Amino acid sequence: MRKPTASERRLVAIFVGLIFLLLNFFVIRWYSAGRQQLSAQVTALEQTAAEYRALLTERPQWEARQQWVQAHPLETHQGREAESRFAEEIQTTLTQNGLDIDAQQLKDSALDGGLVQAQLEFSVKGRLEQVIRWLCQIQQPGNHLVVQSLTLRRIDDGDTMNARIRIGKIFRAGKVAQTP
Amino acid sequence: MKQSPASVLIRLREEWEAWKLPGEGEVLGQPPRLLGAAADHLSSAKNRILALPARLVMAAPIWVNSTDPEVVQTSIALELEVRGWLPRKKTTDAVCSRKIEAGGKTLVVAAIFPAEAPAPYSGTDFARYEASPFLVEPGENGVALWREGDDLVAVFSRGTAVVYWATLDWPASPAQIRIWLEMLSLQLIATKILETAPRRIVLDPALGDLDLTGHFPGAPRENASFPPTLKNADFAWKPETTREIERKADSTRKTRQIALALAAVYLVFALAAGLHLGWLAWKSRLLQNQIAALEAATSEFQPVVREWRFIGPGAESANFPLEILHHVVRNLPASGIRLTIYDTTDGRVTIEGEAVSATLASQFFSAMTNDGDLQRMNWQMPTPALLPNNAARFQLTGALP
Repeated sequence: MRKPTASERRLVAIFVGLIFLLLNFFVIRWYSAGRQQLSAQVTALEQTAAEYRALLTERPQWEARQQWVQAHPLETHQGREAESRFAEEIQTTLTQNGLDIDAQQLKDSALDGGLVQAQLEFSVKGRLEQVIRWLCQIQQPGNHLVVQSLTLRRIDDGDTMNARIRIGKIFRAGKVAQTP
Repeated sequence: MKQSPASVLIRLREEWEAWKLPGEGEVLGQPPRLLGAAADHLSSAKNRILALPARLVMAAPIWVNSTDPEVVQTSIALELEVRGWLPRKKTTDAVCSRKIEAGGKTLVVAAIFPAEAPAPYSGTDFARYEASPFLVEPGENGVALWREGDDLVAVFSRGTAVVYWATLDWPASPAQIRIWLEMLSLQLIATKILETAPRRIVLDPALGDLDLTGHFPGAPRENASFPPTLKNADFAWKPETTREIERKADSTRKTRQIALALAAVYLVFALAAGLHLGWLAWKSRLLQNQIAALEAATSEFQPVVREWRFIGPGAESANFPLEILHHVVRNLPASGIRLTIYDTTDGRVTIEGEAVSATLASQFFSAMTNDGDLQRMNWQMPTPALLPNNAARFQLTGALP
């Protein structure tokens, strides 16, 4: 076979070099993506492990909370009926404390992990003392009521307040009876 | 390691002859042996030496008035350039110099070689090259005469060192040869290259009929077949083609070394990258195993953990809006501040109010941030806005952890 000339050898070297560079480009890209993915995975796993370790150190606290939840069981959510009853309870307590309801609206329930949160948004007017008494009455541990937002605004130089409140009640999700 | 005996190809008399020199470890004093015609005895290129005929190598003995090597080197380069003996391309590759110091001066015997080896050995590989005058023994303070083909060669020595040679390439009569030798001697003595007239004459037996009677008085006449010797050889010269081949080989070797170094660095990087990926994968597996074990250990209260995200805000009184308001109110001064808005939405608490002065608002903010129950909320207060009656309207914000 004929011996390749210097320019042919140079051409072959350039071609091989280009192939090598191209291969390296793909290998580096693959390596970079793999490394990034593995690093992110390791970071996420470290975070999860840290959370689990924190849970373990708080074990007595969580066991106490478990006992507390068992001692104060959640009501079962049976559709609109439970939500209406919740709205009525709130109205009753507001009336009992002399607060005037300006507006109220039952929001859509939020469902998460076997729990349902019924939400009620309303505005009331009254003296600060009345608002505080009402809040003290309803927000007792075991009632499973969560004040999601509270805005107290003084409406004059006196003691009268306008309160805009969004309150939620936690239920355990139950089976809803459906018509055939 | 025992060195193989070298063979010298030298043109003595009519033909190129091959001589075998004694190798290392052989009997000391063993004389070189004539093998025969060079064409029949070409040994391996690694061991053979080529003696360049004297007529191809120019002798240039130069006195330099110094013994400082740098001065000598520069002077010789200048002298050669002035005399027009510096080879082409202004390199000194073709000039080999031997130095003899005497009386604070240096006698430099420059040998100016041709660019290539002569025919028929041009392009043939040899291990070493030397001018033929340096491969023979001319005798101490003497003149040696022999034939190289059609050339008559005369080599002059100062002590045992060869300091000059000349060739006569036309068929001269003995009388002409005598005049030629005398002229050379006088010139060398006049320029102090030789201290005295040659004290001995060494002749090749082939020049047996040459009568030098009456010349160089007192100098005995001797015969010698001039067997090659390496006593005066330094083998500093190489043909340009050999130098070029060596340069290329050197360049190739360097390129190969660089390529190997780069390949080694590449492999180290590749290995490091691979090990890093492996280490990440191993760490990931280790963490997954740890998480599986931790998950099993916490499985019994995991449902509570999930549910507590919803139940907690209604069960833990520390985050009740009323509780936070209580902590805020207890930091209020007896007079001078009135709150106008208290808002808790999505874990963020905003308090707005009016103070009789900006200083009082700042004091209230300071009291809030120092309250043990409120410190966890990272309170912030922009600069209060001053009202026309010098009162200040302020706003505080904090976030539930």
